[in-house]
Amino acid sequence: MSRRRPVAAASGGGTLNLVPMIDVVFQLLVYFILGLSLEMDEELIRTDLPRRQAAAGVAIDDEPAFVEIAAASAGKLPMTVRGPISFSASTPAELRSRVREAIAGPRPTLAPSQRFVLKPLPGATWDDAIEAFNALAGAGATRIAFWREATP
Amino acid sequence: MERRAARATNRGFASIQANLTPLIDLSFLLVIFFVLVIRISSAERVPLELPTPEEPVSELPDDDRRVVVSVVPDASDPTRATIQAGGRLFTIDDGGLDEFLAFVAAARAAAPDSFLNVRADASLPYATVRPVLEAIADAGGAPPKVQLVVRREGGS
Repeated sequence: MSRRRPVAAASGGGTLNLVPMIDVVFQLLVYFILGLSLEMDEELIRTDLPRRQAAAGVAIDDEPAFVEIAAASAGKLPMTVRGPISFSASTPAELRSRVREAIAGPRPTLAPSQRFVLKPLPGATWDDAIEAFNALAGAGATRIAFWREATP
Repeated sequence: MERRAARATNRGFASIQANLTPLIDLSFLLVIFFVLVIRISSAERVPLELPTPEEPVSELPDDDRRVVVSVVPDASDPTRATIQAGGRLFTIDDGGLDEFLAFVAAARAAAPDSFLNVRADASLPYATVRPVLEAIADAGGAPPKVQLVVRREGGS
C-alpha cells in the first residue's frame, strides 16, 4: 500500500489546481456577455411633450395638422389627418408616403417645420400611437407632439 | 554546449508553466463589470413587450444621463398599469401621479440635462399611458427631454 505522493506535496508545497476555477469564471463571463447582448435591442425616438397651456388662438401659419388614430384592426391602422392638409390613411406606410410627399414632394404643401399633433382615439393602443409617430418622423416631420386638452 | 545539454538531460522533463495570475485577474474584473452592468440594466429594463414600429427612425441609446420610466401593465387587468421608476412603484391615479410628478421633478432638479426614457407596453391603451406623459410634461423646470423606447425590428 505504499502509494507514491506527488513530489510537490512531499516537499511541503501544495499546488492549487486552478483549472476548475478558470472554467467557472469563463462560464460566468459567457453567461453575462450573452445576457447583456440580449438586452441591447432597445432604441429611442425623441419627442416633445406639450405642457398644459391656457386655450389661445393659433396663428394661421402655425396651424397644426391633427392626426387622429383609431384602434388598429385586421392589420389596418385607420388614421385621419385634419388641418393644413386633410386625408385618411389606413397604414403607417401610407401616412408616411402622403406626408413625405406633402413635405418634400415635387410640389410641397407643408413646411418641414409643420406641427403635427397626434390624437389617439379611445381604443388606440400605445403601439398604434408609436406607429403613427414613427411614420411622421420617417416622413421628415420634425415637430410632432401628443395632443392634450388646453385648460379652459 | 555539451555541458549545457548534459545539464538539461540531468534535470529530466522540462516543465513550462504559464503564469495564470494576470488571466485570472482580468477574468474576475470582467465578471465584476458584467455583474454590475447587468444589475443596473435589469433595474432599468423591466421586461415589457415594447412597440416595434415598421422602418423605425429610432436611434441607439448613448451615454447620456437618463431616468427610465416603465409603464407596466397589471397582471390582473391589462388595461391598467403601474409606473416603475428609480426603483419605486407609482399607481396611475391622482395620488400616485402626484407622487410620480414629485419624483420626476426631483430627478430633473438633480440632473437637469438628463433624458426621460419612457418604456410602455405596446398593448396598453394610449389612455393609460397618457397621464404618465402629461405628468412628465408638467413636472416643472425646463421642457423635459423625453425619449420613447421601442424595440428594434428583428430584436429578441
